[in-house]
Order: sequence, then structure tokens, then C-alpha cells
Amino acid sequence: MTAPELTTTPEPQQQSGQRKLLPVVPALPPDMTPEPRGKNLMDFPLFRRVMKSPLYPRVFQWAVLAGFVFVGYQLLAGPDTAHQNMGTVLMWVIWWPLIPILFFLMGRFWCAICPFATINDWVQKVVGLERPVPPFLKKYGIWLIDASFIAITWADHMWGVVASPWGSGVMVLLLTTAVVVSGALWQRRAFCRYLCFLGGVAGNYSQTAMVTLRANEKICKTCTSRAVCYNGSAAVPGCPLFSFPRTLDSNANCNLCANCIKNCPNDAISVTARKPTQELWFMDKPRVEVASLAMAIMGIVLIQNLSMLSVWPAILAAIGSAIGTTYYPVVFTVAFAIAIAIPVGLLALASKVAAARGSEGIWQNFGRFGYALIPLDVAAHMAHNLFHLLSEGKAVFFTAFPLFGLEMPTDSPALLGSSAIQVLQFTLLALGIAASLYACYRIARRRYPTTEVHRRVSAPYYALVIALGLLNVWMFTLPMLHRV
Amino acid sequence: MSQSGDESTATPVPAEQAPSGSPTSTHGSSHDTARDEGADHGSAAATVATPDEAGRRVVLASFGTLNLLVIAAAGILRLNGRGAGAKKQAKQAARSVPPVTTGTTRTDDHFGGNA
Repeated sequence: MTAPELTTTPEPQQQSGQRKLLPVVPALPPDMTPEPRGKNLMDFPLFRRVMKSPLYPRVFQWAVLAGFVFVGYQLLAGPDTAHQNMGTVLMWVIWWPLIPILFFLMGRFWCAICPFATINDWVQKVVGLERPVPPFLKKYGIWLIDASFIAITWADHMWGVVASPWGSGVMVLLLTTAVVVSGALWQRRAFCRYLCFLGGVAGNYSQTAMVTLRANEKICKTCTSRAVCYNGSAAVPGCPLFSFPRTLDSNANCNLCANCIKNCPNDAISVTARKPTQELWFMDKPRVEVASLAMAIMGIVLIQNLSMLSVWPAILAAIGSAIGTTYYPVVFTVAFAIAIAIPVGLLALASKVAAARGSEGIWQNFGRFGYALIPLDVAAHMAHNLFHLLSEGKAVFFTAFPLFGLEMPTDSPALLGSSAIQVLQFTLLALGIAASLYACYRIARRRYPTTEVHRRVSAPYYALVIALGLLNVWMFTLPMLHRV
Repeated sequence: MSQSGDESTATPVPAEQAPSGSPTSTHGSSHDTARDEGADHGSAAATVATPDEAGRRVVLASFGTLNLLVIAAAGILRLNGRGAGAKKQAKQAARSVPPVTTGTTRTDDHFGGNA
């Protein structure tokens, strides 16, 4: 056991000029207890049968692929206006708002049934060269995901991709081409793991998920199957996301495809229910790039909200007068950069303060506590999209009318009233703020078991969570535009 | 708290019916009038213009051709043995057991066909 390190806390200089030291606080070594396992869902015979069935997740893949083809056809060949196009409504009013909820409930399950993954598998099966993934992608893949997510959001604002069925359709075609290239060249689902921006978001959000897949280390130690869970067998492929179940300690790179469950000869894989966000409290090797993505998502939600609010033109005008131009691309790009920089900068600032109070540097703190902001991220994202889902949800029925030769109704597309939606949004935000605060507390307590130290270190992050939470609350009090 | 209004009368207004001089939103071609209290949320951003029928066909044909070319090129490489070699190499690598580094999921750093 490591000897407890001793820390001293300098106190402000006394009037006499003498420097007085506080009593020495012995700092305990970090707590390294592993994440506890919850109820194993594999103990339920029906669940077990489903996971082991060759039809899982194939049946879902087929259904989703059929929906994808329909949406693609509508986007590319359907009505030109967003509010009349069923593809746009299904994609941006139904699917996009539901996806963070799915990540929260079931981790990256969507990635197992995603139509792009299915296309990747088909191309790979027919013509795949199965070359190893380039080291560059492995090393910088998550940064590419960060950059591409920011770039896509910027492009959407610049060219109105979401508001244009054709624009959304072309985006889908571009992604399909990228997936075809990746499937033709590289092994497994390299695109999903290293390039997909939604996969990056999924990896981030799924760490808050309520189900998780893990292997039983005790059984794995005695396994003689040469990692068939990872490598695959003649009947079932290996892990599509390059994860070795025995060392898996995060949901970020598991899509619950159940390949490892089917391949494992020892029944060592469990799918367990757990407390939401629990994984974040037990993160021992945080990565700065993941924390950066969390902050970038926070910035993106910020700009998405702001650009749909009544204050948006005033913000643009203020920026325009500050930089001396009214040229929209320049003004918007500056606004966008500021929105992304705010959460990143605030986390860096909090980390700098924390670094002076604990024994880790700024970037270590940035990585470690950046994970604590993920629950607030998820909540803000859900709250934003909940507005679109519940205030425009009926549009999916309305846009179906013309498909049957009927006239499209002009009623309100709202499923719920504004007040009810707002109550749900604030409830979600309150839960997100509470979960992020608690995650800060747990992360600090695990790293610094000494009460005094973990309080000092976590204080700036509490302030950050509250500041970002209140910013979101303020935004949701203002009128917001519809998506379609 | 101004996301209020007469919820039952919230009616979408398509962009093409919006008052002239009112730019449309980046994200929406319609407005919920009940929530649109004094808010001309519009920006100067445009929406991707849909090309005419011929333009659409050109774009779709280009994407189709590009994807088919990629698939054909990969297929030819595989038939010529280059892909098969890589596949064989990858399969051989995949027969080894990944290193067991507790506390990391970054198996791919050591493994994933590059072993």
C-alpha cells in the first residue's frame, strides 16, 4: 500500500509577513474499488434467450434499415419543405430527440442496429479488405469525432441542413459513402468506433446508461478459448467495436450486440442493471478528449438553444458590432466559437483552481471532472429535443396524409402544451444538475478520500455545474423556434 | 417564463407564408405562433436549396457511381489477393489473446489486427 502523502495548505500571509501553515492533512491514496455490479439480467430466461438468439439484433437491424430507406427516399425525393416532408419529421423531430433517451436507457444499443453499421457489415462481407485500422485513427479518432461533430453543427447553421430535406438527404448520402469506404477498407466497424460523430456522442452519453455489459474476471482468468469473445468464431463475429470484454470497464465502446455473449463458452458475460451515471463515479483512467467532447456537446446544445431563441438576433447584432461586420458567416462563426469555448474555458478554469488545491495538474483534472458534466449534457440535450418531440410530434401523422392523397391538416402539431413541456424540461435539467453535482462529489471523493481535500478540489466544479445549469434554465424560459 | 400562450391554437406557419422581410430560421421553416411572442428569431442563414429534377439525378448518380467504384475497387483488390493477404494477416493476428490490462478499455491500442 502506498504511504499516505502529506499535503500542506498555505494560508494567506499574515500581516506581520510571516507565513503560517495550516495543520498537515494526511491525504489518503485514491480509492480503487471497482464499480459494483447490479442485477444480472442474464438470469432472466427470456432475456437470456433473446441475447443468445441469432435473430438478435438482426431483427431490429432489418426494421431500422427499412425505416432508413423510407426516410432516405423521402428526404431525397419527397416534398421540398421541411414541415411537409415525412423524412425530415421522422429524422429530426422523432429520431433525433429519442436517441439521447435511448443512450441513457440502453447505452449504445442503437449502434448495434444502426443502418450505417448494417451497410458497413454488408460491404465488408462482400468486398471488405479487412485491413488493420490505421494507428492515426486509433490515436486521434475521438478528436476527429469532436471536430466532425462541431463541423457538422456549424454546417447545419450555415446552410440549414436540418431545415432542408434535400440537405439532410445529401448528408445521409455523404455518411453512407464514408461508411462504404470504411467497410471496404478496414476491419470490423472501424467507422462506428473511430469516425462516427453520433458514435462519439453515444459513447459519451452511454456512460450514464442504466444497463451495462461486463465479463466475469474470475471466469475469464481460467478461459482457454483464445479470446473467442473478441476474435469471434465461425458462427458469430468478434466484437465490432474492438473491445475485449475481459478488460471492459466502460459503456463507451460496447453496443450490446451480444456477439461476445454468443461466443463465450463459459457464460462469463453479464448484462447488468445499474444506477444511472454510476460509471462516471468509478472512472480511473479519464481521457481529456472524452471530457473535451462532453464540453463541445455542451457548447453545441448552447448554440442550438440560443439560435432558436428570441435573443439570437440581438446576440448576433452585438457580436457584429463588436467585430465590425454584419456578414452572417463571420458573425455566426464567432458566435459559434464563443459558445463552444465557454464550457471548455470554464472547465479549464475550474481545473486550474482545482489543480492548485489537489495533487493533480490542470489537464488531469480537466479529464477527470469533465466526465461529471456528462449528466448535465445529457439532460440539456434531452430537454432541448423534448421541446421538438412534444411540440411538433404530431407532424409525423400530418406528413403521412399526403402520402395517401389526403390534404395535410393545419392543426397544431403539439403533443403537449407549452407549460407541460416546460415543466418536463426543468425537471430534466434539475435531475441533470443534481446528477452532475453528485458525480463531482463521487469523483472527488474517490480520487481524494480525505474529506477536506476532496471538498477543496470539487468546489470549483460545483460552481461550474450550477453556472452551466442556470444558463440552461434561463434558455428554456424563453420562447423557442420549431424545427420543422 | 414566456413559453406560454394559447396552446390550443398553436399553428405552424410555413416559411413561404411568413411575413415578407422576416428571414426564416436556420432550423425551422415554421413558427409556433403562440410561442412567437415578439420573437423574430430569424438569422441570415440560408437553407440548402433543392435542385431541380435533373440536378437531383446528377447528384444521386454521382453518389451511386462513387459508392459502386469504391466497392468495385475493393472487390478487385480482394480478388487479386491483396485484400486476401491482408485478411489472412489480420486473421492470424486475431488468433492471439489481447493483453489484459485491467482498468482500460483501450484494447485497440495493442490489438485489433495490429498485433
